[in-house]
Amino acid sequence: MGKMVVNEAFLSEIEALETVLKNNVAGMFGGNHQSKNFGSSCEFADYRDYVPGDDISKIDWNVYARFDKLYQKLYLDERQMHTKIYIDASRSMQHGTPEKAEQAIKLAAALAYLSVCEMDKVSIFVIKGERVEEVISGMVGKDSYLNYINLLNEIEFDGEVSISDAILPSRIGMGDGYSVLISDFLTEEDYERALDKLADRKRDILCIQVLSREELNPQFRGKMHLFDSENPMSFFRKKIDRERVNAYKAALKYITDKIKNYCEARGGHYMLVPADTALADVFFGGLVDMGVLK
Amino acid sequence: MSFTYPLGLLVLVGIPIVILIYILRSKYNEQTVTSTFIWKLSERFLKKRNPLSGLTGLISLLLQILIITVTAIAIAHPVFTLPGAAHDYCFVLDTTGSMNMKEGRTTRIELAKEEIEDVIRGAADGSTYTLSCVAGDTVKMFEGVTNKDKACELVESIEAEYTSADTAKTLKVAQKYFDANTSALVYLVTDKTYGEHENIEIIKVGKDGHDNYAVSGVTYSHTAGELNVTAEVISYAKDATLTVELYLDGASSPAAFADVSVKAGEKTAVELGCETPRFSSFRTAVKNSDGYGEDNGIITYNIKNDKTYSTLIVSETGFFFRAIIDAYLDSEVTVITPEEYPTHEGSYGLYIFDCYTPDSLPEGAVWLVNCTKSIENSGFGLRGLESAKDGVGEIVKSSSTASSVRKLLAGVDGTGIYISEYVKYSGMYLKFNTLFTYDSNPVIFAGTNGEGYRQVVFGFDLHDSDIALNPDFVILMRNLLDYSFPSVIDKSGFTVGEEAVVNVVAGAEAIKAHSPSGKEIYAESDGSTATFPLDEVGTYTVSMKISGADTSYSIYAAAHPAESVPTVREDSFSLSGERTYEKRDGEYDPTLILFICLALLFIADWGVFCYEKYQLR
Repeated sequence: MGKMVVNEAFLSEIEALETVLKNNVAGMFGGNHQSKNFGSSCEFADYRDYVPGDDISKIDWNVYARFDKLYQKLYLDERQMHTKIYIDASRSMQHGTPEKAEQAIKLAAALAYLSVCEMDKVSIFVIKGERVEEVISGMVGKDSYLNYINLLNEIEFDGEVSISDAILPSRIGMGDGYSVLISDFLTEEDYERALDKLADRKRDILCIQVLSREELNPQFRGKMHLFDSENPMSFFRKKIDRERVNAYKAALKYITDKIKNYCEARGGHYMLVPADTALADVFFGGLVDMGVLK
Repeated sequence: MSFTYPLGLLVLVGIPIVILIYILRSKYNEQTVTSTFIWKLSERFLKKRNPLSGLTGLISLLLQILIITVTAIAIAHPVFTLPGAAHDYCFVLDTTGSMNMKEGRTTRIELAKEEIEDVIRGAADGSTYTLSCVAGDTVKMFEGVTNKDKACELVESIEAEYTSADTAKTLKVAQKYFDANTSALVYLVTDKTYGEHENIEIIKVGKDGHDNYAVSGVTYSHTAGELNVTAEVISYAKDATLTVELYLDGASSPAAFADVSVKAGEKTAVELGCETPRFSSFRTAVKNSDGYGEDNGIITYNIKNDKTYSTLIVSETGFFFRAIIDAYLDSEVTVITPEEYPTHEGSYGLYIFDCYTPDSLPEGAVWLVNCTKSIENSGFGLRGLESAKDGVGEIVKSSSTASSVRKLLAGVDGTGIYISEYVKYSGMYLKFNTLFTYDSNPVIFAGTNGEGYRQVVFGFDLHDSDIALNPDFVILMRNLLDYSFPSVIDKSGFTVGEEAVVNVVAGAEAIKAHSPSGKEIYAESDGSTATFPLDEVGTYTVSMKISGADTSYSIYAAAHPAESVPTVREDSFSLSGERTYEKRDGEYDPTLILFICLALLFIADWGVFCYEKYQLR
């Protein structure tokens, strides 16, 4: 059943957000689209030895005059970036008020919009079980965005998810943009292999952990029998008191710190987003501060 | 230990209910969370737990069970028996008039009540309390009361009277208690001072040496518009100069006054006079203030205003009776012949039938002289006309000591009265006072007839007797006229403790009196007079309904002179008998402690609740 998160009002909201961002930051995702490969743009990058068959128009004759050897000018290859957004579609994302899934869809839609505004290509995937399903593929331009973005409403959040097992066999791409992973990361499953793989492929990593207020600050007290939303066989049966809640918060901090450290160690970014936080706060208070938006 | 209300233990049923509620509430609440991963991980971050936090639920249950248990016990009202810890307390409280004497802002009776309440409050639980008030009458206020509050409440309701009681009477009451229980602690609470006492504890209230002034012995004469009043004043404690004032008819300013120097303890006469054509009352009072105001003034009411007379004489001549009435009374007298009587109309206070017998008795006092035929409701029958032995015989005055007879024969010598003929009466079915007899036959008697009116019967024609020539005749006639025309009250001045006497006049239907404090008193009547006790100082109002009309009279009851003495010293007050020292079992009532425990348990339970509710968050 769809969430109907992406609607007219939301699109107006992110459009306004984009306008505000445009006035305050130079660009999305670093402000340029320089490829990590050499290409045919006008921006000089380096020299290399001329080999027969190379374009002679790119020989630097001034250098030849000085060194008596042919060198060819190399220019940065300015390519179209490909932003890939992965949404955790597990059942646990349906928890919280508002649901974490809503916030995940909003974030994905907003990031996609910001990307297409930079004429980047955007693909959005959902992680279901041990595989990645493409929701929107190769979306370029605002028209395309408006045509396809409402497909996010169709995402069903159910079942368990194995992030690494899903991402590793997928087509990750090679160093041509951001890979954004949106999840609650409340799993014992190993997500680190996926991050390692993305880093290996020179993808820019952005992990957004979405948690509900109830998860950040549990309110229930007393004798509780807690069932896991994804695995009914897993339960926790204890008396919840102040000491237990303090321990819970410490454990949560341990988890978030671990993810953050792991991302940053691989040149990526990490951001914790409460499910009820407004998008403007996410972008101005988080992504700008982090340097994802410059 | 025993329980006053054992049914209160039924509250213990609440314990299993609380346990059941606790068990039901102890169930784990089920809830689905995103992931149990962090909760499980939290075990690693859990600090060493406070052992109390795990017990809080159990502590709360224990506290609630304790609360129910203590509540049940408190409601059941346990009483512990303390062997030999209590006494029987018997109080004899002097409530005579002197206990009304002021001691500063309070009175002696209030001090006495405080003393008794102190003893009661300080006594061991389980003691019994008995109290009698001794004044004009001995009144047992309560007996064998074990509840201190109830006893104190009853003590608080006691008020001093105005009457007097001597030591012998008080001793008799105290001795009665001691005889009944020689282990009892007998207390006499009084303002009198006793030199020695044995087997009794005397609690003296009030200080000696208070100023007290009193007025007594008020007499007056009122002639030619001049009122002369004579009274006696006394200062009990010390020599003093007293101002004695005379107030007429309730006026606020005195009509006369006199300053008189008196010596301590000596009565001194004082005369006051003023001019007034008439008065209904006057008050003689000492102006100086003292501690006992009840004896500082006496109100005297003029009782001569009360009499009204009208007389009908039915006689051929009526000479003797008319002469006497004219001489003695200021009365309207109508004389008619027997022939005129059946058609005569009019109502009179006194009807004198001289040698004429009416068919029926009129409504009013009646004299029947030489009545020769029976009359309905006359109260007597006729045998017939008799001649005196030897032609002439002396009638004999009654030797009865009855007060009514003595009053009717007051001043009458009763000798030398002879008659030649008389009517022999018999069958006197109503009670009459025989005044004179001849040959054991009543010839002059008086009483109340069947119509309810006063009746005097002469059993002979005055012309057949020399009584009219005897000096006793005038006196006897005056007495009989007074009897036939009684004033409602003969005297307006009384002393507390006396009985007021009210004459039941012809046509009187109901008599009642109101005391100075407003209490309604119903008089006891013997037909001709009614009496009621005087217990309070002040003006009593006597209300009498005469022939349908209400009439009021005032009499004044002065303070008892014995109670005016501020300091009374007696040698001893000892109860005879051998004291024993048996104590009764006392009681210990832990209710207060139980309620304190209950409050503490509630506070503790509340504390645990708050700890669970807020501190643990």
